[in-house]
Amino acid sequence: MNRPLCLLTALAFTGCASEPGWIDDRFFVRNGDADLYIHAVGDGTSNRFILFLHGGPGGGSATYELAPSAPTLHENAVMIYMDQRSSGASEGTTPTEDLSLELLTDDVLVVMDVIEELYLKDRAGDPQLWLMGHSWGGMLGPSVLFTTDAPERLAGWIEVNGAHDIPKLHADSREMLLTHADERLAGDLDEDAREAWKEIQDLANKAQVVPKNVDDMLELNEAAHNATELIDEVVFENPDGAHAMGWLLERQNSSLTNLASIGPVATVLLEENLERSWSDDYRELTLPTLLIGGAYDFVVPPTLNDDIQLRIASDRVENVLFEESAHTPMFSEPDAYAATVLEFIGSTP
Amino acid sequence: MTPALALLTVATAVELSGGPMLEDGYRPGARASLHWTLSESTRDGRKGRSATHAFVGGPDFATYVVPGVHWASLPGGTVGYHRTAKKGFRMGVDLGAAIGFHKYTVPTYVIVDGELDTVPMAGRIRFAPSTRLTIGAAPTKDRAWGVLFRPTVFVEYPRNDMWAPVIASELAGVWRL
Repeated sequence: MNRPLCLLTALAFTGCASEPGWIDDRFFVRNGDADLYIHAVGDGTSNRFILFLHGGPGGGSATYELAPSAPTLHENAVMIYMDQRSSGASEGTTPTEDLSLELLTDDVLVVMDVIEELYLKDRAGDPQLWLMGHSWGGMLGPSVLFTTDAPERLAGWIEVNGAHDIPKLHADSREMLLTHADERLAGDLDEDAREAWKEIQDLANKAQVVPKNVDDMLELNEAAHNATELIDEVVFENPDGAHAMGWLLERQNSSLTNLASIGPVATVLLEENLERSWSDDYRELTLPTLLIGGAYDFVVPPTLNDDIQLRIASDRVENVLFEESAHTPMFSEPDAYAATVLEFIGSTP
Repeated sequence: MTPALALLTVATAVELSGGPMLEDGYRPGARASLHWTLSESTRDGRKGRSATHAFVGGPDFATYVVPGVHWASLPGGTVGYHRTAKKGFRMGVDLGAAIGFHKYTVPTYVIVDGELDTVPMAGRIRFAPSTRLTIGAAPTKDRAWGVLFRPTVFVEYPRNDMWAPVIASELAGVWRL
């Protein structure tokens, strides 16, 4: 069965079970008072399993399954989308104020245990488990890498627009906004765009280099998203219709629910990690590492990836900058994004 | 005396409504309600247009499915105000409260002493207040049936530690019993 047709048969809610080796499993993993929602989907015969940590914090992973890059990734690897504690479709009784990076790190380890039991333990060949994080996932991933024995169990780390150093992220985001605002305002702009860039420039000028609290950070973050919308070079590609239909029918929770949860979860976790930086810890990371950034990413500037490249101990590092992307290259340059990820994991023995 | 019978003693009319409901705009579901008219009055409007104003209440049951993963059932009740014109055009608003039961149909794994095990997961029982708007053709003196469109917002709590909004739209057939 071809993939679009298969996705349409999602109406029957059976997935693509007829393809030998194809995995399309939805399940929960219990860790303490949380039931973490997982969707594993892709070609199991590839022997490449990628545990994906979503951004936000508090967002959920469903949006990433909608990305136009997703079908290609699924055809060549198994993507394991995990909704973090109190995010997406995960359930539980954890009070929001008790959320912490440490708790989320432990969740990832338990999910890795389950993945190993379900997919890797008895699999022929040499199955690999990769860890991949986008945005906030680039803060959670390093916590897993640098505070646990996870690197011994992983084939490599893929950091996509990763927020592994919040103080640097804030300072570089402010700098990047000011630089771009100056450049844009010096050129020809229509009245609305000029007004918008002026607002961004004023806000970035007022912002402290070191944020005093999470509100300062979120204010600059909002300006960064606004700036992205003003960049014509960044195109947001729509997913294939059949892919979008399958996604719509099978996803577990609504955008409205995500919107309701992202605020409280983000506030607690960002407040806790406002001064957190994993940059120096990269000096000890020897895993193969792929760094992906967007040239117009004002939210997590690509300079954070450059910083890792200077420090990392690993002798296999690729730092790839997507020239027509901002914070979501999986939506802006999906083909190149998927190819970059697949080439990197495919060429790692 | 059960609450339903108590309502019957003061009701002047009873309506049964039911039909398909789309949770989030596309997920399949269904909903059925019984409405007792608790009080009603007919008032003349401009140009001789009269309308019936009714306060109604009764039990209500909604269900929706997230295909392949979980289904929810929401037994509860609503009270509301309905304005029905002489020719049957009805507008109204109902406030409801329900208990949300969620049944998960996928496995829940847990690691116990290094071994993989599965555990039952019933999901948490949630409180689900709701607001439902009604617009459509209600039963009249000439016919005992009608068709109503009813968008609803449920707000389920607790989902994790938070309120979770759920939007549903219902196309209901309604019969006067």
